[in-house]
Amino acid sequence: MEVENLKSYRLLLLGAEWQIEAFRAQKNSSDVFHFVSQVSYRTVLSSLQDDPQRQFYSELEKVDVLFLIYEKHYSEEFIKMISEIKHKIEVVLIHHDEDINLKVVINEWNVKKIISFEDFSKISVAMLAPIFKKINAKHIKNKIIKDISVQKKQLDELILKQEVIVNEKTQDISHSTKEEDKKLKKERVILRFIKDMALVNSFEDFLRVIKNEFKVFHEIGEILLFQKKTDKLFKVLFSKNYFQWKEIPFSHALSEESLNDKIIHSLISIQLANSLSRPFGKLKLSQLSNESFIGFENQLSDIHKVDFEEFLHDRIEVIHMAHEKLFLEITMVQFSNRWEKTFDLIDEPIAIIDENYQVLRSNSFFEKNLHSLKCYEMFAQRTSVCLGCPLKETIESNSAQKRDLNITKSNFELYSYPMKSTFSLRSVVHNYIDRTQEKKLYSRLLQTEKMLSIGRLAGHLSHELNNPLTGIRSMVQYLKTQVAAETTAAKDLVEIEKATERCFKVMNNFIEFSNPKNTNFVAMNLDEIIQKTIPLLKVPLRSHQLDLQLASQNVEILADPSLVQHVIFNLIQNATQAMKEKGTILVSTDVSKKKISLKISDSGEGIALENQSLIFEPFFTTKPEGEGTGLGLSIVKSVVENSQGSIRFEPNHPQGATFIIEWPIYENTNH
Amino acid sequence: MKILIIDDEVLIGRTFSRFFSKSHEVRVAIDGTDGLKQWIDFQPDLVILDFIMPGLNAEQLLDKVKPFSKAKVCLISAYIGDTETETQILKRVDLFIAKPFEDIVKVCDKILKILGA
Repeated sequence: MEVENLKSYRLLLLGAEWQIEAFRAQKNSSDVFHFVSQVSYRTVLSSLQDDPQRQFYSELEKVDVLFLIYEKHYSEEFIKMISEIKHKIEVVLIHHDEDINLKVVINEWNVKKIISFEDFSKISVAMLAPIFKKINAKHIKNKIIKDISVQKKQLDELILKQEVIVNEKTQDISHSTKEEDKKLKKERVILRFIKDMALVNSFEDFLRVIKNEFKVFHEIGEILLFQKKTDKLFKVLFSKNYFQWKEIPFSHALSEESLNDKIIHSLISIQLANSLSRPFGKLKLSQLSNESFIGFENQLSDIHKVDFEEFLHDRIEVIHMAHEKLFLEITMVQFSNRWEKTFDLIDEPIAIIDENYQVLRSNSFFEKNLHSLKCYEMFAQRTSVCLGCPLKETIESNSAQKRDLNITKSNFELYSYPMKSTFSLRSVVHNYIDRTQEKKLYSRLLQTEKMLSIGRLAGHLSHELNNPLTGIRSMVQYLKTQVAAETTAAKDLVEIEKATERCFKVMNNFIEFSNPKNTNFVAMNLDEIIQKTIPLLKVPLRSHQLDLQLASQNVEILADPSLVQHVIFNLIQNATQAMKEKGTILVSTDVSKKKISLKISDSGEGIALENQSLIFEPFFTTKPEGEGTGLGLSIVKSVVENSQGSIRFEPNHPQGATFIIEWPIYENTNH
Repeated sequence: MKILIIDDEVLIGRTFSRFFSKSHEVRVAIDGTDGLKQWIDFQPDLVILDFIMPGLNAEQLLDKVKPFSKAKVCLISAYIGDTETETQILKRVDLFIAKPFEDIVKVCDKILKILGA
């Protein structure tokens, strides 16, 4: 601590007895005067008498140390003044030993420092040194104490400040720990939400998970999904016992902003209430995509609204992502479903096959055996590759191939396309088009054409050959009249005639074959023929009821009676076979303007729709194999049409079928 | 009696000629054009006529000779009454014989009958 730079004291010597001159003389020779900057001297009397009291007092105030010689005659006022000043300056009382009552002085003067001298005249500066040293020590002590107290005060302030800071910091730390916990908890909750949303696989699920997440807000009602059709027409998914979609028209375009308008908002709430048939609260919309919104029905107060907004804000991104993922998934599934359906609906067998003949994918017309995997096992029921299969060639040439294949007794046109595939094995698409019917038709057409050309050839040949053959036969017949019978020449001529005869026969057979025309068209009565035919059908008609309504007794048709009989026989027999249980067969004839119609109807099972266009086709039959040739109705049809008639078929109500044949009425001009 | 046979089938014409030439004057033409020429030159009482021939056919021939001929006509043909033309021509002839015929002797008898009538 700093003590050296002590203050130099201003000194006042008070009292008559001070040897001031001697004092001054010693001033510079004593180290005591280090302490003394100024020495002044006064007698007490003069001070008190010459000056007003206050002046002296102020003078006293200007010194640091007062040396006062004690005398008994000091006035009370003076003593009072000294005891007052004593608090401000150091007062040292100097007295003679013998004439002082120390107790009284100390009590009266209230002075702590008292020095006694026997002879004032001998007081030297050196003698005062211990006093100064004491005073100084006291000063130093005071100063140190003062310094210490200041420093302590500063320290206290510092500590206080630190405490405040520490308190603040502590509070901060505890606060931030709380925040961290809260954040962590929040993130954990959101993470669980993300997990839940990631598993969502339908819009219904999507809403269910969101609803569950938001159930902490009691003021949230229904959560709805809006899908825009037009600005004012939305498909809305909502839950009312179960999830359902409903198209709801709105009077205003729906958007997050439009709801800010209170009037529009309440209108939309009313429209939703009408559509959902229940009261509807406020609506908070959040856009998910260009076409979609999620809507929260709510009764949120402004305070809770903030919480809700924050809650939603934390989750809206997750909701967006889940919605987009869902939307894409659903679109993809729909897309691939459409393709699969299309693929399955194509009514020709199609399959994607790899180079080991493994079927990778096929449509329903291809699959006959689901468990096999080789195409020839599945489709052709073979144990080896089909004869003529172009698969290897398609893969090697990487170009489409076309083949005609015979598979399970059917003729297929096979189109084989190479696939730019991502499969490890190269694969092809095989499309099988069934040409069996076409081939049959084609061969029949070919046969007909062949017969026609043979017919033409026969006609031409007969004309070309008949003439010379007639010439030869005629000449032979003439020559026979010219030679005697039984001669060699006559016999030879007979042989020639026989040969020409054979030629004519071959010729006629040929014409007959190519152009059958051995019909005998006559005017005939249909009712008569029917009456003649019924007895022939005794056996098949035994288990059914026959209803005859004949009304064409007076008119005739031009036809071959035996063929017409064949037609009637055939149709009635068919009718009996169509009825498994006892039924009724109605055979009726009727005459109108220029036509005679014959109707033969049964109450059987009728003719299946898919067969109706085929029944007159040759070789078509629904009877078990070996029981029908499939020629019956086709012959009936050709017979009817050869006699200028027509035949058609109509289904009966409630069941059965009717065949209707119409012939033109034959009007004989000779009559 | 003068008989003209018009037939492009040589053997037929010749056979008729053999039969009739014993008792009648017979000429044979092998196509329509030749037939017309001989019809004019020969002025037959009976003509045995084939329907279809090179040159003129039977109908055309009949048209040409109609102004001057009084001959009886016997038509021989494989085509009968199927078309309008054929039906028409049947009304213009005295006898029709379908070809191919089986027995030429009977045919000749028929032809001679119309001559007699």
